[in-house]
Amino acid sequence: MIITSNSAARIAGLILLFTILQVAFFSQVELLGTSMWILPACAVIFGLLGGSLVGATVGFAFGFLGDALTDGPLGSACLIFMAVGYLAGTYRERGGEVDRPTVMVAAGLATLGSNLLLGIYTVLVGFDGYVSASLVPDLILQAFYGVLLAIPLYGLVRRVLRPALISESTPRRRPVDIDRWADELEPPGNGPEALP
Amino acid sequence: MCGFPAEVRKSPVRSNPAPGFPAAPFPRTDPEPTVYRKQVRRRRAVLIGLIVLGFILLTFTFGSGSGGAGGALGTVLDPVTNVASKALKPARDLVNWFDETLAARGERDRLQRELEEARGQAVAGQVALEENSQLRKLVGLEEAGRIPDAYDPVTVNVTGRSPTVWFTTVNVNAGTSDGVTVNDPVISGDGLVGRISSTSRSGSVVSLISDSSSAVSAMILPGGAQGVMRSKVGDPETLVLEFLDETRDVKPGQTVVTSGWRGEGLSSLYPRGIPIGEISRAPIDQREAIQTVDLRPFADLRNLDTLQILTGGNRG
Repeated sequence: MIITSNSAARIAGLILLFTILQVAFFSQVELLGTSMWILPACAVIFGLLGGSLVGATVGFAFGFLGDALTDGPLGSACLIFMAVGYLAGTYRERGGEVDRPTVMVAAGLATLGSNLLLGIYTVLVGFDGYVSASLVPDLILQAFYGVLLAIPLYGLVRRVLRPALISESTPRRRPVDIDRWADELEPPGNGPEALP
Repeated sequence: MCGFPAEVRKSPVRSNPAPGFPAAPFPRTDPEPTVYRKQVRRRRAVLIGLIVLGFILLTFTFGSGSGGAGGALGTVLDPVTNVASKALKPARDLVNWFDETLAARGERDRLQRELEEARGQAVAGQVALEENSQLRKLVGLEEAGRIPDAYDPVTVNVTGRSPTVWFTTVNVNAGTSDGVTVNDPVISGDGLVGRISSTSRSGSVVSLISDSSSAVSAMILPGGAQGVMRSKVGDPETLVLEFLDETRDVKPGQTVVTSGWRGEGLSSLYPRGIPIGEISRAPIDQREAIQTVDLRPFADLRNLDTLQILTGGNRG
């Protein structure tokens, strides 16, 4: 991703938009008793599109804003989303294929992993409550919602950041079929074998 | 800030001369590796900086929510969140309608059973109320409502909600300008909801009683057995009450209210007598020193919309 002041402003706008949507909409709607958590999927998408550094930085910003708006323990989500964005970006930089299934799987894993890491953090800092067995289906459902929402979110982010994306700005080359090309140049009957 | 794509990074330095040209007497130094090294250094510095910043934030805000930085950001973004919440309410209601319709079938059966029980209790309650009012007149006590007179309730709407299952908080559209302060109790029409965990000028964050950090001193009625109510992470429809084994005659259906203790300069955050829930499961084990029973909160903690913050007043 080519970072200019224009693309940086677009990224900042997307971060703010997704965080406010998370707090004001996705957290407040429930399907099958579980709300939706889009921020880990967003961190993954930015990592897959922009690389490890962009993924880590944007993930950190998502965590910071999300925690600040909901009075969460500032820093925990920052570090978790940063790791999520960095790993997604590293996958892309190492030549991993970024297609729809990859984005969906990565978003689901990121949501599940972020939830588990937040749980570990909660236990480490002195968790003093009880854990219900229905936590497990909640975590799985939230990861499933991450999978479902990954594609529209990916499409939106890619559309907004298209001018800054290296893979989008370079024109694609069509593969050349040499034999077919040669056949078209020399149709049967016009070659040397047609001479008397 | 941008990184090189993998194929650029891995491309070998070109050292072969073009056809027809002699090889250079000295090996050519390509500027690409130097630029790449700079990129790597800058990338490492940014990553290390972010990690250090993350740990600094964790250290400074440990155990106290998002702290000052969160409050400052909240002051800036709360109006935006409020507007977004109002604008998105129709869409939210539409999605929630599907979920509520699915849940309504089970709820209907349960409510019918409860209604039958409640009818019987209502008759008994009417008798008790009449008896109570006569006794109060006799001893000259004022009739006490659920909310103590010293409190000034502020009605608010929920504008946001925490997304994780570990920290259950909701954002509301009233802040310090409305007289809201940290630790003010928050109730709904059904019962206790939580307390204010942070405030900004125009908004506040409510830490629900189902939050993993929540603990409320509570009392079982009738009987008066006192204990501490805690959350059960992952199941906001169940709370857990811990109490000593002195009173074992605890049965499902008994009501649990805040106990509102006070003593030696310390007092409970919640006033006495706010309904919390009813006991749903009471597996009393004679061998345990501390008994635990499950409660079903009266307030629907999954679908909160309009709440009241009890500002002012004396704790306990």
